[in-house]
Amino acid sequence: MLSFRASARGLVVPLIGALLLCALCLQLVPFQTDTGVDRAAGQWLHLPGLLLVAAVLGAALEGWPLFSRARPGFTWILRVENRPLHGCLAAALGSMAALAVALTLAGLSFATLLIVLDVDQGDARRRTSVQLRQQRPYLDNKQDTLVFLTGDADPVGSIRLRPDAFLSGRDFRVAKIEVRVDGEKLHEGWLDNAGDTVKFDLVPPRRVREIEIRRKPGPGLLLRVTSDRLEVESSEPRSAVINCILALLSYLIPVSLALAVMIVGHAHLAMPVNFTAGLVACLLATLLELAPTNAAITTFARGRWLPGEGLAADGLPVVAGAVALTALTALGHWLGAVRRTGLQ
Amino acid sequence: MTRVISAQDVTVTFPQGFRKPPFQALDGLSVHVNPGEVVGILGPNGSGKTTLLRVLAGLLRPARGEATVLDRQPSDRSLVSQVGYQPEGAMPFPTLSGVEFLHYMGDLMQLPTKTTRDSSRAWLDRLGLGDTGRKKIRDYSTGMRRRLALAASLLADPEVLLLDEPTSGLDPDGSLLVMDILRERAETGTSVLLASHHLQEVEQTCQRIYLLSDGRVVSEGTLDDLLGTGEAHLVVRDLDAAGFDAVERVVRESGGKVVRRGEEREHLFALFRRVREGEAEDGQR
Repeated sequence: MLSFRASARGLVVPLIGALLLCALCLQLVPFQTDTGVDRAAGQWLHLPGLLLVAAVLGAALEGWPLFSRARPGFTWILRVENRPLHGCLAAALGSMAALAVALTLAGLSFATLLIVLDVDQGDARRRTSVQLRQQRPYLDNKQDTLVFLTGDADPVGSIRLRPDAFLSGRDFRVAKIEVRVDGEKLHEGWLDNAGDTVKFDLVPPRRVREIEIRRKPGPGLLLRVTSDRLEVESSEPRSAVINCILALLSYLIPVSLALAVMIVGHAHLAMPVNFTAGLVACLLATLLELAPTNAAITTFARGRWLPGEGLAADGLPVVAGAVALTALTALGHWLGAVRRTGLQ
Repeated sequence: MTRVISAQDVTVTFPQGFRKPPFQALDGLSVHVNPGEVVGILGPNGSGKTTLLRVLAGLLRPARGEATVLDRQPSDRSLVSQVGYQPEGAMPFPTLSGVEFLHYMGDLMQLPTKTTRDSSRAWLDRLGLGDTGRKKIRDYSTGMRRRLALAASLLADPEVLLLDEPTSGLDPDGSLLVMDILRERAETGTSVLLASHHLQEVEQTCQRIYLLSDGRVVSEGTLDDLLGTGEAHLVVRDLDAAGFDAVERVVRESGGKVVRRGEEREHLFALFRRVREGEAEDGQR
């Protein structure tokens, strides 16, 4: 509770500052995409995220004297503290709770900002990949039709196809395809550029069980359409505000790793060193895409519904790593205490 | 249990870095404190006073020798509430109020909530912080912080008190109060080991003294042992010049020697105490 309060207090100014900066950036930097929707504006969500992460790591160190060496009151607390890891675990959890609250507020404010500043973020749509029925994902001379099962209860508003193309013979035209939905023809025509996404709208939206992609006879490249290259997009809009909050909450994953690294260094490293270690761990986890933070914000920026993307599972290895690191540190401390005092 | 605190041949070393010999903060030091005794540790800076208290508080492990408090290892968790420790230096949690700090310390020491609340209130009142208990610690003066620190070390009604410079930064009023409290605690059976630079306070409060230098005990004993010269002296008051002459004559005839004749000055502490007692009596009238 103490660390929650200290961290929450330390996050107020960065939160307000980050949102003001976001408002300024959204006003000054124009966003134009070929679809006419300013989706890329969502990438500014990194700004409050990173600022709040840096602030919470600092607040965690500042708020708990045993999180770094030689802090004021270190001796006081070291003697009476009886919790595992000198209370750093409880302090880290308190700081994470404060960060979760701050990220939620930031997400809410950012989504509101997009509406107030008339930067159309649009509603989020759920997109899901489909299941290929055949073994070979190729459309070639041996196989001219691929059948996909959606297995989805949501009404489908559009289908997105992004096939890979392979050169065959001397013909450089991509291919002519036919798309059928539950046996009914939706589209027939040439693919202009293989590798690009082609969108087919369903009017009116309806539930779809089966999608057929047929390569029409004649000249053209061989196509490969794996399951992840065909997506169905739900017609039901989801809240962009919740999507924004969820995207920002993804920062909790690298922060858990950063705090675990700081717990390893607690009582041994000075405050600036431990802060740097935590921040570097957090940035590496984000930049190297070990944590799905970047993916989550890109997904939000593209207007895709985050819970449908399965990104939380991508973050599990990082969280598991953070838990393992903390547990190993606790074990080391326990063994050290037993050796030093003979007490358990 | 005859000795509440016992340190035998304790040696503490600190590494000084690559290729440098370790620094020996305590060098085969032995001290003991009996039940209900107030013992002072005197010595210049760097003589090992704080290190000794840290060993007895379970924060440092001696490289050699053995230390026990209440017949247990100093790092024994059960001693946390039985041994009050007031370290020197800054206090933690400057954004908490005095009351919140004491309540939190009570939680950390796993004291019952009611005990913590009652004890906090009582000690804050006793130490003159009753009105400022809601004020944040960062807004406290140095003296108020030291008094709050003492309240924290007394919170659990400990059997042993380890105090590092308890009156440092206190005004004379505060110092007197702290010394009075220590004497009261000793009367109720609490053993006190205090490190201090204030010779006069130690002289007035402690029954025994250890004099430290370079991590070793260079002198120890009661005040009489250390300060006594084996000579008796006579102090007279309210005599006129003729009376003084008469006394001098008798002293000389008895084989004694008058060393100095003049007006006696009292210690500042005694003056301060006399003035305060006078004020209290006036207040009662």
